[in-house]
Amino acid sequence: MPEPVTPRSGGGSSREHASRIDRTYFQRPSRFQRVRRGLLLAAVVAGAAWGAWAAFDGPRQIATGPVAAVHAKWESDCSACHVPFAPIKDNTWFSTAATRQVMDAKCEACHRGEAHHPLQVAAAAGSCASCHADHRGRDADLSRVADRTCTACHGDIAAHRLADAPAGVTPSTVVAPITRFDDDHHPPFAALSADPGRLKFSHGRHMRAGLSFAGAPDDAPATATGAAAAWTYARLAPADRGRYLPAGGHDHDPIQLSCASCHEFGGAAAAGRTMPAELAGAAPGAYALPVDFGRHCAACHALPFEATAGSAPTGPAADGADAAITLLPPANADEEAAAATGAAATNNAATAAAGRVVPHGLDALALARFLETTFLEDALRSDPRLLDVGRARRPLPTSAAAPAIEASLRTLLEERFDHAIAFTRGTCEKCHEVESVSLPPGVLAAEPPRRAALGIGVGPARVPVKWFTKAFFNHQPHRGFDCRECHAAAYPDAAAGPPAASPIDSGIVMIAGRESCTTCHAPAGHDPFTGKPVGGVRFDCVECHQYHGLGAHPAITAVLPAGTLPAAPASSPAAPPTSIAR
Amino acid sequence: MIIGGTTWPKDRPWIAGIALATVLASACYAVEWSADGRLPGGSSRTGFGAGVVAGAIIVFELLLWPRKRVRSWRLGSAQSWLRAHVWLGLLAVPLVLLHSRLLFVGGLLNLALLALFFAVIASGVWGLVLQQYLPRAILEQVPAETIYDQIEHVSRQQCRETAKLVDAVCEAEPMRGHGDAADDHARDRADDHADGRGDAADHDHDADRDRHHDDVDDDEHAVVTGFRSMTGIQGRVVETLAVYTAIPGTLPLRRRFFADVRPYLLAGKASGSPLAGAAASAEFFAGLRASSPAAAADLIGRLEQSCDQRRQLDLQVRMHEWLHGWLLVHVPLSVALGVLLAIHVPVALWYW
Repeated sequence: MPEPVTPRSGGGSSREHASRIDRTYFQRPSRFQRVRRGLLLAAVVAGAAWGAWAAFDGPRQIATGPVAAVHAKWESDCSACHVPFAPIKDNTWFSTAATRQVMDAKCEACHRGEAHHPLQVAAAAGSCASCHADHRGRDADLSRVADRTCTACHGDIAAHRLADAPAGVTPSTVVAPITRFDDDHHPPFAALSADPGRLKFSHGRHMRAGLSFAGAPDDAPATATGAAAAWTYARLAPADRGRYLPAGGHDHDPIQLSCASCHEFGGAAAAGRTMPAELAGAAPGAYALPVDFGRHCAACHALPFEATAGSAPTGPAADGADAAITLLPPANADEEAAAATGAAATNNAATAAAGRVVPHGLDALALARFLETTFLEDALRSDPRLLDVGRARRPLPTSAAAPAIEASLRTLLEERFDHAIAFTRGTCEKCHEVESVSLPPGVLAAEPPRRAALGIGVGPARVPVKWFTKAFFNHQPHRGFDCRECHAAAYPDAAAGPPAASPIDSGIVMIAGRESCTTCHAPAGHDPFTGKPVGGVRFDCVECHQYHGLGAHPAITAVLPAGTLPAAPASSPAAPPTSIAR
Repeated sequence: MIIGGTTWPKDRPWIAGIALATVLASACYAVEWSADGRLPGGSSRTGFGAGVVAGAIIVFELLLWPRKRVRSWRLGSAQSWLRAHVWLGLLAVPLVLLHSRLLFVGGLLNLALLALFFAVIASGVWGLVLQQYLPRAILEQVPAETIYDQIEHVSRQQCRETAKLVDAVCEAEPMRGHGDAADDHARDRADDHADGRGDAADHDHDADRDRHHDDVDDDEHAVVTGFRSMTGIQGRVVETLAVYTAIPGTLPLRRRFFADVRPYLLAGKASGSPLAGAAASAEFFAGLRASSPAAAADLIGRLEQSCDQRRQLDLQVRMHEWLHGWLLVHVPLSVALGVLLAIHVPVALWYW
């Protein structure tokens, strides 16, 4: 190591040491700080820019999702449904009755939201949006609400209905909790508990070949009559024969009816019929049109009002065999053609009178007038001198012969009328419940008052047009099923012989209950015993039930011509709202 | 903020409080979910409450910045603020989840808010994790730590002093005169200006130049930084060394210094020099010792020490960037989150 040079001074000044550190460095932003400031500025600008974008493209920025297709027109107009600072749902801190009213008014501008039930607690109803949530995409079905919206009340209905029922409203006795559609959480269908109908009918007989319990025509003796007589198509009028005879069939084949022979589906207009009020709004084919005597019964069932050979309309026999049903012979040869063409199968009073049958559906007074008119015509034909009744031969009005003719005519009419009423009563009692009805005085013109209690009245059949009063059913989606799967009781046991008891089975409800539905309308799975797949079809509440009422919205009817839309069925406390077709 | 150790008694109540608040909020949410049969949204009772609390927390989080800038605001210590910032920020996560219906939200604004929120949370958590390990690592691995913003300045200063030492101890280049020295000073001045010292650098360089001119062969001292270790305490010291006369046979050493060592001392790892690696540096200096006179061993030791210090400063730079780089994400995103939150609140209440 070389010799060190003697240093001139001692190791540098303190200034030199201190100058090693730049004491002003913190006053200048470092690169890191400069970058951070730039990023901050960019963040503020970007945030503000996004806010400006949101101001111009609010729906896409703010809405939680696209609205349903039915509301797509108002996708960009939030004010069409929303009110500023008013919660659209009622599960918020700031939901009040006032906000609910304001929001529901927005919906009711286009939708009708009738009260669900007169016993419903208003506070438990909820706002429209509480059940019908939008912004779930274009394909969302707003009417298909979740079961919880229903089970919130029906899970404990006793606690969610008014304790004091309004006048005319009877609370349902079914208070079991309904939380799901299965055998454990849904009660049996109350509408199917009993048959309210008052019609005497035998599905068992009508579904048999030949409409007889005697078996095939080949098994019956050729001279068999009454219950043992099997009907063939040849016994039908030609017009009816064409309707009932299947393709490839023959006139001598025994008549084989099917469900469709009497229960028509399809549009009423297509069938040339008027849609009953109960089915207003239902989709074509959802429900069977009511059975009509003229279309479905008259081909076989004439309604004679006078006894002839072979006819004994005295009502169903005690052993179950009903009386022979025959077409009455026409009163004269001119009417044979009318009978041959099936004129007796119509409800036209004039035509029916020509065929000596009474039209179906007449009330007591109309029936009495029909009979008396018919008998008067008969009397005039038989004794034209009756036309002279009342014509004075002398200036003085009295005539010794006239009272005799009038008295005999009156007697004749009374006798025939009484006989016809009794005979007709028997005819009607075959299928209906008949009661005696007092006729008003002076039924016959210019005649003294008739005796009372000469008329007959037929009680309403009361066969439900639509059985489910609180649910709806559509046969069309179920058209792939055999009718037997749900209406097995309507089919007779082919192996059984003539029943020992009355074949009248109209008191039996021939609609399968809940258990037939839960086979398919259940969660998808497999039967644990058979391994077959079960369920998989929707079983939510709205599949069969509806909350709101029917009919056109008042705002719509106000701008449409009268009669354009069917009138809404009256919604009274005693009649729960009917449901629309699906 | 270090979590654990001596700070555990201060953090434990926060953790317990957050856990309790999360459980309570979740329980309320579950009750409302059960009652409604569907996930409560942001407008529901529980969701709205969670949203309000989460929004208030976000506002509080943003106030940390002004609190740290305005030191005269004695509203609790900065450490307390930071602790609250961390724990309340974590509490905001479950609240935001409940407010956003467990992330089933729609609308671009809402999605942007959620994305920003979770990016802020993630960057904050990342920074918190880094703060648990990097400061200690810097303390242990970078004993030559200096002020981050001054690393380049200190490096240049160290390079200048080291060059002065080499210039004094090693043989001069043939035909080296005042011009060469003036070139050296011009180079040094340019380096100092790059540091941003400006006029102060000019004054120092003028003084150096004058001193060099007056005593070009009489540079008596070199101020170098050394590395001292005593009883386990490591640190950097500034030493003033007496300058020796030139050592014969050290011209190659001089040339190697200006060719290999000086660029590395100036630019560090960015120079691409093999001296950035400890093993390569040891090999380099071993070779240098072998090819230099024994009398130059001390100088070579000093050079090696300077390179080691430069490596430490390089490490400090990397660690510092890791330790603070997350703020470049966290802070701007937080501000953006605040801006969008200010838009979200009135908009959500307008149509809800």
